[in-house]
Amino acid sequence: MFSGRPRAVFTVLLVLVVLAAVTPFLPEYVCILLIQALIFGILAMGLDLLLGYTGLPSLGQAAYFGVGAYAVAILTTRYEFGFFPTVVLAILLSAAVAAIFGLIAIRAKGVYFLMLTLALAMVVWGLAWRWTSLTDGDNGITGIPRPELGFDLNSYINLFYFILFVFVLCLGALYVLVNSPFGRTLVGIREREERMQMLGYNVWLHKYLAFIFSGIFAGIAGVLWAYYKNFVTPDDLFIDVSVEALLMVALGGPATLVGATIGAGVIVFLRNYVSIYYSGWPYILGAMYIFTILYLPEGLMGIARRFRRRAETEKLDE
Amino acid sequence: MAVGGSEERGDPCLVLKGLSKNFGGLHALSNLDLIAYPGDRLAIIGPNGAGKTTLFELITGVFPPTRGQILLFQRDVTRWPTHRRIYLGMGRTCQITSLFPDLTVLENVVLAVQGIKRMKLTMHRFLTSFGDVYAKARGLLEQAALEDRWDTQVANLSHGEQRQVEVVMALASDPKLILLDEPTAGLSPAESTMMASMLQKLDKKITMLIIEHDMDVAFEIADRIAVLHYGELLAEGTKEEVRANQSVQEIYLGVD
Repeated sequence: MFSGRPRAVFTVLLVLVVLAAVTPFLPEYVCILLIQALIFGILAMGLDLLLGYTGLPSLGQAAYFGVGAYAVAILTTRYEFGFFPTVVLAILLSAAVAAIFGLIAIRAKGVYFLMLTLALAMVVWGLAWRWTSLTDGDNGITGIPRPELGFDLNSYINLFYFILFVFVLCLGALYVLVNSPFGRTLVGIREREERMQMLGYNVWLHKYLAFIFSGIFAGIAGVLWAYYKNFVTPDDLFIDVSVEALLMVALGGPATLVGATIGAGVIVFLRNYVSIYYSGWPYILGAMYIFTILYLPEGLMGIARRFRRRAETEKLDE
Repeated sequence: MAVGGSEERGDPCLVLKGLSKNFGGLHALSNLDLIAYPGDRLAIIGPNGAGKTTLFELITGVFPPTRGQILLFQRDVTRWPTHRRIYLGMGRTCQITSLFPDLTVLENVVLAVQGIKRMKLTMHRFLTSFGDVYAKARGLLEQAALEDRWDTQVANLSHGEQRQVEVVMALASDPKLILLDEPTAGLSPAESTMMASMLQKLDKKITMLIIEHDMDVAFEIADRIAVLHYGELLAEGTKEEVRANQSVQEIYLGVD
């Protein structure tokens, strides 16, 4: 988790390079799933900042994801904004909503924080559903054009590379953030909030900033989602999205960043393949939740950690 | 008002005026007056439930007083949140060890060092790139003879070492006033002696308020003693004055 782990950084870079090299030879269907996994990976990593590093379980990430997606939909289809103004405005809007909701939610802790974030997210969902003059309600907004950036983003492989590029930027930014002085204070707050106050930290401010950052990354994911899918509906910011984001972090391993993305990949691929044979995806999601909490508290990343620890103790025993 | 000495010793670091705290019907502290000057070593003693820890909670702003006023370095901080008071130059240890158990000793101390530094909000650089913060943390650990343990997870330290890390962390922000809540709680006699000598070696300019159950340690470190009894200040003065005080002897030191 700390810096000074060049091997971990190298492994992640290697996996990303292999992914970039292999994807053109994969079926288009898999390429699309990889795109989805990367987008949800950004959403989940942003949540990891809150859940894993700061210890705040948000069940409202769909709100900022949805604001980002709807902002793109509305700005491009109604007002024909260009790519850069759209993206900047959409991310700013997500941040603004997170900044307002954070004022309310950060007062609470634990389950109460979770309930508040959930309730606030349902407000945004309600707006998407009912504010028909702006959102077209249940029908959603269709015809969102892919951005024109000098290469054809209508081809899935190009879109994949574009989203991979944004993903790497987000991963890099978050990696620096969690290892920065500010990022380490979040871990201190997770471990013992009262002590942090006693050391001179304005704990509220640190949590609030983490909350806004988390909203920004959810917003970025929402922007990419709108461009990828070409349409948005209220379903895109329903509670399912928040729940899946939480499971992605828990399944992959909290406070690892990469784990959140692995969790996102597992869930995106499972959901798509399972849905072919079985319609009860929510049941499987629920079962995975319970299994992870009971048997994998450190997530999939914890398995690797456990093996490493065992190897280390064996080395000591010799 | 109980004043330790009448000679000129500069402005007081801490003034408590008529401080009271009620928890429902329980009077945890009533009408307490206390002054601490720079360099004072004041031990606060008293039986369990006398209000000693409550006093520390009020001074550090964990909760507000029911009545009364707290002046810290001549500023009325009665309604200030904890972190702003710490910023003025105060450090505190807790009675029950409250470190960051999953972090290493060095990481704990680094968090304490950067607590009142502006760089704590830096987001675009690795914490490890702040050499001065790490140098300071290592220096503090050396002073406490803990430098060999820097890479150990705090959860794996002995209780005595954890208590020492507590004190190191309270000192990390270079406080002018330090509150120690039973630094020797749960320590073996040998460890208690080590802790006492560590505290005695501290800069004489630092004002120290120390809650202590071990009378030997209290009388060794402090030059003034305040005796709390059921939330009231029973006596306050030099060691000799307090030892000679009739009511203190009766209820606390024990009379044969």
